[in-house]
Amino acid sequence: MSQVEQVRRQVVELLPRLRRFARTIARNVHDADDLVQLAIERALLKHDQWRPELKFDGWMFGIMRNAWIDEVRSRARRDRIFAPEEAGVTVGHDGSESNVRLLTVQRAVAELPEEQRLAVGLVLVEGLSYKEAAEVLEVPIGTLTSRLARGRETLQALLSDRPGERS
Amino acid sequence: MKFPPETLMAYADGELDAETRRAVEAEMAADPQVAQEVERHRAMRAEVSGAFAGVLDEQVPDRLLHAAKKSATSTVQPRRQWSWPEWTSVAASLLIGILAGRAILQPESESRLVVAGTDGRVVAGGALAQALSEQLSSQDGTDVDIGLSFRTRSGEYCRTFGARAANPVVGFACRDAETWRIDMLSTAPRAESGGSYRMASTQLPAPIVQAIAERMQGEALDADEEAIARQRRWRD
Repeated sequence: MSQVEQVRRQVVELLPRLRRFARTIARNVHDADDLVQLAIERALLKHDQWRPELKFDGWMFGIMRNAWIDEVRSRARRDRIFAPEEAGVTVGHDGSESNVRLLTVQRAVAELPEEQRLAVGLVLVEGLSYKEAAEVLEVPIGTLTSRLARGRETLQALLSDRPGERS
Repeated sequence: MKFPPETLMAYADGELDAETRRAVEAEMAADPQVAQEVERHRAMRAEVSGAFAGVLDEQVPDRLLHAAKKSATSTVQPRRQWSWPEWTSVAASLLIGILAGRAILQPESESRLVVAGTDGRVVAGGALAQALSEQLSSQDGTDVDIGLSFRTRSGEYCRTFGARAANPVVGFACRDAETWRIDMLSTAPRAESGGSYRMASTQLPAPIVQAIAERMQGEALDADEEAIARQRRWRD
């Protein structure tokens, strides 16, 4: 199987997680899926930079993070000027108490500063190790750890303000 | 508390080596506050992870499956998908235009950007040839933008371009002795609304992106490599 075919196959397998990670970065489903699409296109364009010894998810998350910084972020910001969006109202929505809590947590993540949000998304949501997450973000592991610690503190503060209800 | 807060967080995330882990566990047994702190980290992790878990069960939109299977352009909206038959018909109509001696991009023949070369090849002319030879990817051109430069597996230098004209075109050309041979050319994807037209390699139609991906050796040239290649007139 050619390199590009290998990359394609792994992208398809990883799609649900790519969408999940995108959902922690972008603040609405539409931007998140645009981000996934852009990352897929970039990955295919530079498929020969992937090496079997690299973990594929980390490689793709790195591409997605760069795509976010380069393109989608500014567009998302610009669009929000015209159509302000409820941050984080994205997953499951049947109004039950547990769903209200889910939405509260999603919204709190969406309110984190970007650096903390990426660290939280990679480690707490995607389950990457600190080392893997630091590589994706191209920062030393100590930087990753402190962003993650601050992210958790911020979340704690946001969530203890509003234990069940969205404010 | 004996351990810094980040160590307790790392414990909850399963990041500690065996020795530190045991030390933290001893401390947890001795100090309920430490145990509580660790539990708080674990609960946070479970809660955040749980809040996004539902995404995995959602149906993946077709456009993403399509992007993974076919490759695509990356202007986010609108997305113009090109099929090969479509592309070839565009190419054919352009070629017919060229061979019939019609001006493709500019009415004045001396400033034509695309010309028929010898042996029926299609080569860059005028401002396009000039930009391909002289303009770095980082520079904004008047008529032509250069996207990225790369080398093919056979060692040729190629560059992607976008030409501003009444009907903007994009494509890529490869250095062929003293000329730039145009290997692919297409009408430009619609520019982003409101923004000025700015060529980027990521805005090429899918078949062109795919052709580049198939031919590119290694990575695109960075700014330094590009400057050196220009100095060598895009030859070894």
